[in-house]
Amino acid sequence: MSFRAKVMLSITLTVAISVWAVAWVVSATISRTFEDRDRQRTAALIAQFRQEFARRGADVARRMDSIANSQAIARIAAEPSDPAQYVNEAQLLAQEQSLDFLEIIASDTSIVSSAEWPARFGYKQGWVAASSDWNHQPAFFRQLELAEGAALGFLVVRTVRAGEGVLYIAGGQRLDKDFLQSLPLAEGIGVSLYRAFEPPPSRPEIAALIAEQRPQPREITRIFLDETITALPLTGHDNALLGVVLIANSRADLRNLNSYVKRTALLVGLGGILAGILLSFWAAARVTRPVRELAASVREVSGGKWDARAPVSSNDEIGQLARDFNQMTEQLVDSRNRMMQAERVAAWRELARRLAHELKNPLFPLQITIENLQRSRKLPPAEFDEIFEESTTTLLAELDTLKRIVGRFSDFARMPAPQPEPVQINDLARQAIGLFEAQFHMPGRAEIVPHLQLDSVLPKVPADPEQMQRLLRNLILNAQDAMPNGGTLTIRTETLPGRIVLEICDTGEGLTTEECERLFTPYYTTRQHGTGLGLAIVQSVVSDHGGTIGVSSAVGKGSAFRIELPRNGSHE
Amino acid sequence: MRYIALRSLAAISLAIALLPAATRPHYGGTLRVQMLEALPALDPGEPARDRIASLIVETLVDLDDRGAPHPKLAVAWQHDADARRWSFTLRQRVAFHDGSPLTAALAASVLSATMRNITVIASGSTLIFESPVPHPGLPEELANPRYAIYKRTTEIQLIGTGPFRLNPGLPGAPVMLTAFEEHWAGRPYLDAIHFDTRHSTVPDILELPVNASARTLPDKLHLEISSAAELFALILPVGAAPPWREALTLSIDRASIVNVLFQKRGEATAALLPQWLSGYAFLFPTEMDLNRARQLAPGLRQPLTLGYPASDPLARGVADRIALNARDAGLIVQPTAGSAQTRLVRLPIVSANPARALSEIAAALGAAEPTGDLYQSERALIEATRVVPIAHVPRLYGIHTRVRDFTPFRSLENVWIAP
Repeated sequence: MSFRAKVMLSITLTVAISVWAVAWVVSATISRTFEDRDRQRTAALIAQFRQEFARRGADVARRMDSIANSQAIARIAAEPSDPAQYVNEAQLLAQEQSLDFLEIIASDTSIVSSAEWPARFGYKQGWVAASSDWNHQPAFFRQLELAEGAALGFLVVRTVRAGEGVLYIAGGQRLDKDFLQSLPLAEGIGVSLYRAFEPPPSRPEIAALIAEQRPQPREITRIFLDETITALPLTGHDNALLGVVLIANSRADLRNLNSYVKRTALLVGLGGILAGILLSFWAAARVTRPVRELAASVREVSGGKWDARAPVSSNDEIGQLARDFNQMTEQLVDSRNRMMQAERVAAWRELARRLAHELKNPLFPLQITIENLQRSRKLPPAEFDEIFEESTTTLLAELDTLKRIVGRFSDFARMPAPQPEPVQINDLARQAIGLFEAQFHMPGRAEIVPHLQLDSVLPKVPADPEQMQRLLRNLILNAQDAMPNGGTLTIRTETLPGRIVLEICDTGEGLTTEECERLFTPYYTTRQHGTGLGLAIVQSVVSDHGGTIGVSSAVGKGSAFRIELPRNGSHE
Repeated sequence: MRYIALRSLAAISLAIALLPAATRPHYGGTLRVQMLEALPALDPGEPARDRIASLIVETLVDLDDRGAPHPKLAVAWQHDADARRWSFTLRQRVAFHDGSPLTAALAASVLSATMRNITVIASGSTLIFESPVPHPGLPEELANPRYAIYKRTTEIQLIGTGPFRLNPGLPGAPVMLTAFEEHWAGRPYLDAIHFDTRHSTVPDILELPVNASARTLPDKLHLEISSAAELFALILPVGAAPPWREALTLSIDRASIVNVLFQKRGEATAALLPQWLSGYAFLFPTEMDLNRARQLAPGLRQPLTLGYPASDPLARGVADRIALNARDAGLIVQPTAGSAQTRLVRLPIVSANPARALSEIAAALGAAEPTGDLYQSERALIEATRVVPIAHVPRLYGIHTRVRDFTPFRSLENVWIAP
């Protein structure tokens, strides 16, 4: 990823994260505010419910007191044993006092008269005997059995003296949806009633909330996706769960507001990201331009243009870096020039040394021969002629050697530019091996076994066939020289993506690391009679074809020259 | 002293003068009857409604309080040796309310349509009844309002020969009857009878539920209670498991129902006919036996839905009590207002003749007419129809002090209103 892309990404991410963080904070704040409001509204409703229940309980208690003090009850208290007289009395009294439930219960807890279930006379209501102080107790919840099923109500019990015993009067009102509907509800709040005798609600989360109430009735609030539900338990005298008032606070407002905040944040975020992209594009362009120019200059240097300069457009760190770069390249050019001069001098010295060495060998016999000739002038003509004949022969031989030495140097100096054409390297390798076949098996010399490992699908490459042939011959010759005691010469070709590989391996004496490093230096040779130009020519040919050459070697095991040539004529 | 004696003499004279006027029937006036519920339509064959229909239509024969047949539209009858062929002589100069005369041909036509297995032929002023089997009780049978002689038109539901004629009106609307001046027995005392479920003023006759309290009656009304006139009973569906009838019979606390719900008016019973009518009702035990009922309950897991008339609060109380009693025995009975396979019904005791009363109950239960020994017939009827008798209850009326000669269980034909 480019530096510019990184800068753009950083700015965009920064904008996006900032917007998201703001949106999250706003959303969280709104949620907290709404939840506080919901809590307050729910608490107010619960207080209102309790207040309403207390009010209605007091109202029922007042009505029950009125019934307890009525003449009808006094008449029943005087003779409670015959329910036939009073079977409809409870209904009449309940109707008078607008009560949903009313039962007149004898001392033995048998029902004398029942308003809600008239046919139930004579049946026992044992629970009324649980307290002896009903007259001072407020209304309480109770589950009642009716002919049509169970019902939930809040009851008040009063007692009146009836001879030796007491007459219980238990009455109250039904707690159902009508009761809840009478509560003034704020918008968004819904109240429902679950009664313990009903099957669990179909909504699993509500059913779970109610199930949680059963072992230990208590006020529980749960937040769901669409609403907050508070469960207010309704317990009876024995603290058993009789019902649950479910107060649902809609979270629709919160959800809508949160959606609005998210939409806004999304729009702002997208706008911010877009602005960030533009800003980062501009900023990155401004920031990265000197860097890119510096990078281009570096690439020029690496491409061989040692005098490349980076423009200095600012005084900041990038400007300083450009100045340092320019200074560095100047120093590099100076160093290179100095090195080139040094190398040139060294090469001349080496050339002079080699020339001196090469020329000194034939010159010394020439000098001796000429001195012999001078001395032989004093000899008899026959001897002189013989000496003269020998000396001129020697002179000519040595001159021929000198000529050959000079010719080789001349050849190296005259290396022509390659004339590339599609060449099958495999064919050239076979031809080269064929040329040396006789020498490999020459009697009196240790045998060299050629071995070809040629890639059968090796593509043709653009190359000068003569120079490539010369390259192969030089390398084969080099390998032959490296194996005076015989061995195996392997030529291997291979196809790689975008290039081919040519390897010439020998199993000769091998080279030291130092020898490997200097191997391609002109006029460097490890042999007694070499010119030191063979591998230099090889490297020159490879270089002229856009390829690379390398050597790997281990002393005593042999060497391998690896040449890579581009398939399209220029090195990748 | 002399003054006091003169005043006493004047008072006694006035009382003597007024006494005959108070006891002598008075013609005129409209009798207002407030019914417990409206009647959907008049039908002489429906026992519950025959108290109105019997004022409009007449049968060939009438039964007295002891169930003995007396002449009505037929003045005489005789039969052959084996009671297969009967001849009834029609009363002369009897007219329908539309003015047409009663003829033997018309009577034969009406009776042929209603009587089964008996051929009715008109012969002059005589009706000939021919039956393939002996029919010794034919006169009593012909006293059944089902065999009344009547006509219908699109405007008037019933046109008969009775002492009152029906004014045109829709079914269910208040029923207005007007005295039929040309009635063969003479004009009735009343000018009209107005049946309705509500009157603007205190009615002359107020039908009351059996648990009505005399304390709640208007001042000018007094309570009249008939002898047992209805049977409260459960009718189980034909498909109900047989132990259901026994389990319910054993679980129902009839005494409590009668004593409390019916305000001690009526008799707990397990028989169809009341004790006063059959004399053997005590042979059907009414005692509850919860232990035995509980033993039967495990085989009766399926809940039983008990339907009762939605407009009858007393029936609801009885149904609720039955459900409570059944629950004590481990049975599940669910009362419901309206129709259900198991029904709580009121079967009227329409006749003082036990055979005819049982016959009407059998007809109401959809069973074949009982024959032979009455006790055995009743027992067989109970077993066959899966009926569970609960109590016989009377009818209650609030009677205005000006109403004279009202007798529960009898027609209003002879009632008159004191001026």
